[in-house]
Amino acid sequence: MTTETNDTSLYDVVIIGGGPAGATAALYTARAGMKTLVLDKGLTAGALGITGKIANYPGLTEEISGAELLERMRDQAKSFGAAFITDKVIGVILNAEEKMVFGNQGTYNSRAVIVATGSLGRGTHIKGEEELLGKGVSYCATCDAAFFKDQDVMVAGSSDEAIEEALYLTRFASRVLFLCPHEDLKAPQELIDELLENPKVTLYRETALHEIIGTEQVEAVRFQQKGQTEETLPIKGAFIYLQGGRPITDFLQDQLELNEGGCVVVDNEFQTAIPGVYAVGDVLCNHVKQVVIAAGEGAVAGMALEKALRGRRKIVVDWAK
Amino acid sequence: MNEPVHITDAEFDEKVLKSSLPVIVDFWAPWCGPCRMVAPILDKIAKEMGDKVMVAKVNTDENVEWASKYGVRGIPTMLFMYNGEVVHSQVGALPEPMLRDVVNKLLEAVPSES
Ligand SMILES: Cc1cc2nc3c(=O)[nH]c(=O)nc-3n(C[C@H](O)[C@H](O)[C@H](O)COP(=O)(O)OP(=O)(O)OC[C@H]3O[C@@H](n4cnc5c(N)ncnc54)[C@H](O)[C@@H]3O)c2cc1C
Repeated sequence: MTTETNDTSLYDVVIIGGGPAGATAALYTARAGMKTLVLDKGLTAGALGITGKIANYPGLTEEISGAELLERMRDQAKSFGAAFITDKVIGVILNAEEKMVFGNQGTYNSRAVIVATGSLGRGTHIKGEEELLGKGVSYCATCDAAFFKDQDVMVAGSSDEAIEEALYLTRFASRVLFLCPHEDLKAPQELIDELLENPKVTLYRETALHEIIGTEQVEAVRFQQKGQTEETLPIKGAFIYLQGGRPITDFLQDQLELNEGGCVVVDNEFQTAIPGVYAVGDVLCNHVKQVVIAAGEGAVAGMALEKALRGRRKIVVDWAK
Repeated sequence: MNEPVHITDAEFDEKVLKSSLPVIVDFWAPWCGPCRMVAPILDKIAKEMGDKVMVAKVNTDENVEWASKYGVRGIPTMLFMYNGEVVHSQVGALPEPMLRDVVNKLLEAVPSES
């Protein structure tokens, strides 16, 4: 998580989000011989990754967890040559022949982009969160952890992304309060064990984050654990990785049209208004939120994109003659 | 000055606070993704508007004094300064058109050089 990726290659396609929609698109583009990169912030940071049991994915009759199904999809895409990098995408430049995707760890260049980030985004902020952004509130431990050397910080979340960030913070902070909204953390067991065994971490399960308190800087956090009275504890940093039910589009920074529901607008081949930029899965509206549908959309976009890029390649060849 | 100037803590007073031009101070660090996103935009601004505004970059990995004086706890943080005073501060990366807007507003607010 901490090394900077110095990836100067030009990919045919960078897929943002490796859930069933993105992983399936990758399977199709990689299999068609296109240089494919999938960027995802975690295995259990999306809807399929956190689903306990999947019983309605056609052909899979055995009991299987969402994370396991997702790993199989990713492995299949990798077997055809798709590359996967763990990174959180924070920005893009789409309106250019050569598109750029900015992550916390690196910058990636490609001819086409597929947006498949799902809809676990947060719609509302916690009291104090916006006002104190950059004054102790952060969404990027790798960027900001060093400012909290020997201080107490809080992490709110439940996914592998949140746990990785908390573990990174333990290298700097003196104490990490981990507020998990659910009873269980949703992540691979080894990662959960690593968190629980870290002496700097105190885990609060089933805990609702109420407010980040502070005037000039973050001073405290107000929260309530189920069945307990509300508590306020002093902290200097608040790192938030909570999930909600809104399409994740913040990193697009208004470069693509969104409808009233906040969803990306696409045509019937899942292409957006910008040629070479597609969107699939739960990040769309008018879409049935099911794994098989997300995967199907990924397949359509993967094939459409391949056709489009191959077409363009021909034109380049013609010019060269 | 057509490119950003790298400033150490020791130079901050002389080069930033006493600058005759308005200054955009970019607190950044090499490991920070969002900082890499704003860097090329600031390069362009420095190139195009170098006669009107100075772009100063402070690497918080090596220079903590002024970052901590200004209460910087997240990067990138951009301070828009004039006559040694902070006129505006921006936390986090902004898309190019929005960042340019902020710069233009800052320049409108300061009396032009004469
Ligand atoms: C609790 C629950 C139970 C469900 N049960 C079922 C079921 O039984 N059967 C069924 O068919 N469907 C079920 N669904 C719905 C199904 O999970 C979704 O429709 C499907 O996962 C959508 O796929 P997706 O790829 O669009 O999004 P997601 O599965 O959400 O994947 C999106 C991916 O994008 C990544 N991502 C997001 N933002 C970024 C970023 N900025 N940078 C990098 N990566 C990013 C995430 O980490 C994630 O891996 C369930 C959903 C939930 C929440």
